[in-house]
Amino acid sequence: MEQADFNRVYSENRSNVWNLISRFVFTVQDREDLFQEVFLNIHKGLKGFRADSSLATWIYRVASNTSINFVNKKNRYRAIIDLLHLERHVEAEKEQEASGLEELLPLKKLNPKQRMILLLSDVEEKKLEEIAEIMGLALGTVKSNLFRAREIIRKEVIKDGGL
Amino acid sequence: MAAYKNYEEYISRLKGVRTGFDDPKMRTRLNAVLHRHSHLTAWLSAGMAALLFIAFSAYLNFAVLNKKEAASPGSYIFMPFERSSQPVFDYIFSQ
Repeated sequence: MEQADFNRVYSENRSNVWNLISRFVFTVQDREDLFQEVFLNIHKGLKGFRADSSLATWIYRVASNTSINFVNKKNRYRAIIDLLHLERHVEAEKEQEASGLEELLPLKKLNPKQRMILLLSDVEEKKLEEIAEIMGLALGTVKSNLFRAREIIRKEVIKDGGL
Repeated sequence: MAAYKNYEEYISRLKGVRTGFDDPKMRTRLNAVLHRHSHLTAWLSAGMAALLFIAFSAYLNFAVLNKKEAASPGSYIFMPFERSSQPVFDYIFSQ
């Protein structure tokens, strides 16, 4: 793969990837780390891209898989930190998260898969079939996860003062 | 947490979130990582090639040539250490 190809892919998709991941994770540091990891994976995989799906769909797939793995890995790391009672680290992280945006807080109630499906469907406005292709899931699984995710968010929004 | 009238309002606010994408910073960071990554890949490839060469040489020496040497002594260049070096040590220590 030529560097020029990667530069073109980066220029055309950086905004879409950033918009997706910046609502998926909640700290500036995580956003930047995840963005970097997504494009590193795109760089590694671009040579083997076989055009079975459109390039945009493939990029969303890389972004979605990388993001879910990133959060799962981080949760495992956090579990170990909690287990070892490293309170100073946890406090520092809470402080960093508190400077995040209000609108993202309800999304924390969702698991990574539900969060990704909700973002792709309701923020990125992707069709359910496309989401199923992006995430490698059955259409029924996407529908049920989206339904559950919307219910959880509705409860959060209403609980916190909505009508 | 902020109050929203309903789900639709929340999603509309979520869509409107500005998250401050710093393109020059991210581009510089990414270029540095890709540069490091390509160097690491090159070193790993060279390391793997060296390991394969060593493994193949060891296999050639101990599994193939030694067997042939055992079958007809003195015919092969790759001789077992003690066989090939013994006369040299005998010579040195006899001085």
